[in-house]
Amino acid sequence: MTSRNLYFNLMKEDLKRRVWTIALTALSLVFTLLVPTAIRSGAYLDQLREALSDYEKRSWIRQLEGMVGINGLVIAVLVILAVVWAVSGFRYLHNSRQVDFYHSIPVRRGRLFLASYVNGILVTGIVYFVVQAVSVMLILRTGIDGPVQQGLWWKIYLLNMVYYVMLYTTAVIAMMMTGNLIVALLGIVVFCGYGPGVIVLIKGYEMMWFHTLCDTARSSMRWIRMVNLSSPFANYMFALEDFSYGALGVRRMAGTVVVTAALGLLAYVLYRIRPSESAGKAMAFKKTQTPIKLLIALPVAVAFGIFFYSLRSTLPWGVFGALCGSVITCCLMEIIYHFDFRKLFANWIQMAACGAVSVLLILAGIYDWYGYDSWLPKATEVKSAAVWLGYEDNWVTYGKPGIETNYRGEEELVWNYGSQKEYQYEHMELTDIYTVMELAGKGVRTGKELRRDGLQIWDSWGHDTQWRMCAVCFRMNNGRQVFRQYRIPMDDEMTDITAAIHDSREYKCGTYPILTQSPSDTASVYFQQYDRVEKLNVDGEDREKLLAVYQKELEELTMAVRERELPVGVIQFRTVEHQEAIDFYRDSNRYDLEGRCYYPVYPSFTRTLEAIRGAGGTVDDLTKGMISEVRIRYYTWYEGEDMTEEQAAIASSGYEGIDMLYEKKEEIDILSKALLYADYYGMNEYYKAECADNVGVTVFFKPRGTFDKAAVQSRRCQIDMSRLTEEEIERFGFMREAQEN
Amino acid sequence: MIETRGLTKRFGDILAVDHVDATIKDGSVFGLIGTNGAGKSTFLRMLCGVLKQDEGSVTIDGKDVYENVEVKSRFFYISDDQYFFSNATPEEMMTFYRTVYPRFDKKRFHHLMKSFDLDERRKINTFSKGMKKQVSVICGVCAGTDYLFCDETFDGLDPVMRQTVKSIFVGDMEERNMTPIIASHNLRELEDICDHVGLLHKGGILLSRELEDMKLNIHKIQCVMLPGSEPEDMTELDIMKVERRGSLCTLTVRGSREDIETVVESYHPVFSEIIPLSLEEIFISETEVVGYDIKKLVF
Repeated sequence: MTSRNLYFNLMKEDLKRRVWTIALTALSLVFTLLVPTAIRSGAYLDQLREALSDYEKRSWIRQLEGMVGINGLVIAVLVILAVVWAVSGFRYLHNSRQVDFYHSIPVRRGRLFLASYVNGILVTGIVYFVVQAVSVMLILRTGIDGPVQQGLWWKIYLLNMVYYVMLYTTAVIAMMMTGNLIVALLGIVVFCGYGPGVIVLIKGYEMMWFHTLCDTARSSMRWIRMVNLSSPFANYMFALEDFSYGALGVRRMAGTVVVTAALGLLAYVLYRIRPSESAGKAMAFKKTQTPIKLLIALPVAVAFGIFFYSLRSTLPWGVFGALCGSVITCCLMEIIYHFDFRKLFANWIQMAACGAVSVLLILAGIYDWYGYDSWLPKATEVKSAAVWLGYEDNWVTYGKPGIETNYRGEEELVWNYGSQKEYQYEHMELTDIYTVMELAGKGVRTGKELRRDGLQIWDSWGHDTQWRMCAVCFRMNNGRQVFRQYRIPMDDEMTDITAAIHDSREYKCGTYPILTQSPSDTASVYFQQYDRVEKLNVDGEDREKLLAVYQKELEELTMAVRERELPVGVIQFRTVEHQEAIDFYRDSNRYDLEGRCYYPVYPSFTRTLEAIRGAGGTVDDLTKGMISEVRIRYYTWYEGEDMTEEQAAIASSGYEGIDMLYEKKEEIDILSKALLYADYYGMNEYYKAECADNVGVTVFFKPRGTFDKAAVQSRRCQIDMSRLTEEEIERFGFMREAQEN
Repeated sequence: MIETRGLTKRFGDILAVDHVDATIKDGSVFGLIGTNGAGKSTFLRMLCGVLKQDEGSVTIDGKDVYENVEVKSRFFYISDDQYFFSNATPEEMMTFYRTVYPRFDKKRFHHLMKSFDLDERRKINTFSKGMKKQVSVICGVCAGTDYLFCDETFDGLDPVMRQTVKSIFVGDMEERNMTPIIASHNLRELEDICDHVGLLHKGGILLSRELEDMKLNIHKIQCVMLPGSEPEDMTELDIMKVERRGSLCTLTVRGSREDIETVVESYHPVFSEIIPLSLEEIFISETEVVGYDIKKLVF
């Protein structure tokens, strides 16, 4: 018999013995893909006979395309089938009777391996292909040809099959490395979950003890890439995500094929060198026992240490956790290795070593033996810096519109969001290094105090001290960038440091994108005040001048001004691409693009306000008869002696609150001088106000001038009690914020 | 010819086979005996290439066995608990064996199945232990290999079937020079079939001899000596053991039958007779010589 014939005969005989696996494969794919597609395509045809709106039609098309596209059920079935085929193909290696049988016959082990291994790929590949093709035909019957036109169906087939083979090969390796089914299944879980688990643990370790560690977009990307590459399963999920955003990643696919081929080769070699006597044992290769045990026990021990430390934040609990984790994991592994509970202390030296290393890691974290949090560069080594001053100015719009291709090959215009921190790291070039060093030094000192008291960087927020999270990007003379974050109490010194940084031109240039916007990018200018948006009548040179004036005044804005002023309106210098995005989504409610990229106009921006008025804009004042009525909702959860009878009645009624409507001019005059327009108040966190704590305020504007969008526009406000007398406060029943003891 | 030289296998700390040197000649029946755990199965699994030896070598006609398809196609291994595919029938097993043993005799398979009154289309998992053994033996002899490795194959067969199987082996040996290698813990099973016997104990081979050699060189004599004389007086004899029951003495003596008869006659005993030794008795005597109590080892 020729060897080729023998090989095909072996494959045939192997399949005969695994008819149930073939049946399971066919049934699971038919019932998760073919049957649902048939049902939905039939339902769609029925619906087509009735009138379907464009939206409904699109929705149906998406649903049907999704059946042969990224179909979660099919993916889940393929993952399970990968394990089932691996187990059914190589289960005999775990049974000494079967090993004797297979390994005594005159067939090379490599050939035996290949016959089983290839069957596991071929059967699933063929069955899935047939089911997918029939499903596509069912969809084509409805007149939807997207999956064929865009090649969607074969691309997702290819992607799913490549990852099926990868997962299947991983499961086969787990079967090779073990001698027992349960241990093999645990092995598959380890192969798929170990990498991501360790990465999560490292992140947890960092979060717990690297208090000044500052995540950046680049570091986040690095972590994501590591998770992506850490396990076949994670890689598959990332590939599906990538596929949903665009075309089939050829490079990714090629890489996956290469890795899968390497894994296949590894499985082949493992099969050939696998001792037959390992059937029934936990691990097939004795030499792998210790490394695997330590690779699992050490991270688990550290995770236990972190967990127990997080409960009590004391050294003994951290050490207890690490030791506990070591002992439990090492004992469990020994029990599994020997299938004997009495062998739990079989390798106590390794257990002790694991415990010692994990305790050292916990101690290193607790006492910052790495010196990470105490690191402070010399001022002379720093070329420039960027500083993120907490969640300040979070109203600024970062990012811009961009074109992306979805998995159906369609181009979509999406808003690519940007982060304030990243923008600042990229654009801010603070040269006043000494101020930055003062900030960093203060952060390091505070960090040491927190560490000494066993506190985390996020602890103690409820205390009287006001804290601020800051982040610094040190650009070193040698070109290296070092990122650190600090939590600093907002005392006078810190206030001065913050003000010095804030007031610098470099800080603002690195924070507000408008300051780097050029006149040529600017398509139009809008001024918005309360309930009204006006397009300013500025073209060419006037627009350039208005932009320059605003940029100049924003650059010169100081913290002192922000402490005493609130914006009177907001201005938008709409860019060309912003306008294109608005036009693209004009008929869709997917994005509210018109409301983005507004900047505050403060009362002290006199030249800007003058230019706005000059361009036909109206600048009103809330106190000047704009308001028709004010509705105040008094919430009932503040019960106390200060409640009016009316409020007490509301409180006892069980309602959430009661709305009071103030329409009299006298009442409106009093209230309007204390009104803080919520949108503008939110744009300036430095403004010092004493807001009433028990009310929600809505103002209703009178219909005005040319703006006739609606008869009545309402806007949310707050009440600044510092602008009212005690009598007025009492009259309206406002309450101060409850002070903590 | 199968040869092992310094064949050694360890399972962790356990030394299962310890530097075994053995030669199995073609055309003879090699019996491998030993207690449970003596290393018989391990030895056989190394012979048939299932296990890889830690030290030493296993060769068939000078060629290594492990992962050598050409050599492996010359033998068929029947383990002590032979594996059959789940829900398989003898017919399906035959189909499989035919794919890997090109000389598999299908006609003979059908004939033997019929002779043994076994249903080819009945699931093997519904067969009794003895019937399964019969199926495995039939598959083994029909595979047409030069060697047949049998691990406790006769265990579970009834006496009639045992004799039938033995006669099939004898027939194959005569027809095509097949060499059965039979491992068993029961000496009596091998007595009437083996040409050569190897005794394994604690992984090592205690004894490996041609059965005929052993039988020719050791004899049992029952005699009644003249009053006043004792069997021990026959100093010319290499007496291994003396048992007395009244005046009747039973001697186990090493030497040729003629020499022993001559010496005994010269002492004019009242009665003397040379009686045959069972394999068991030969082993008792031989192993006692090398310092072991065979009763503790085998029986």
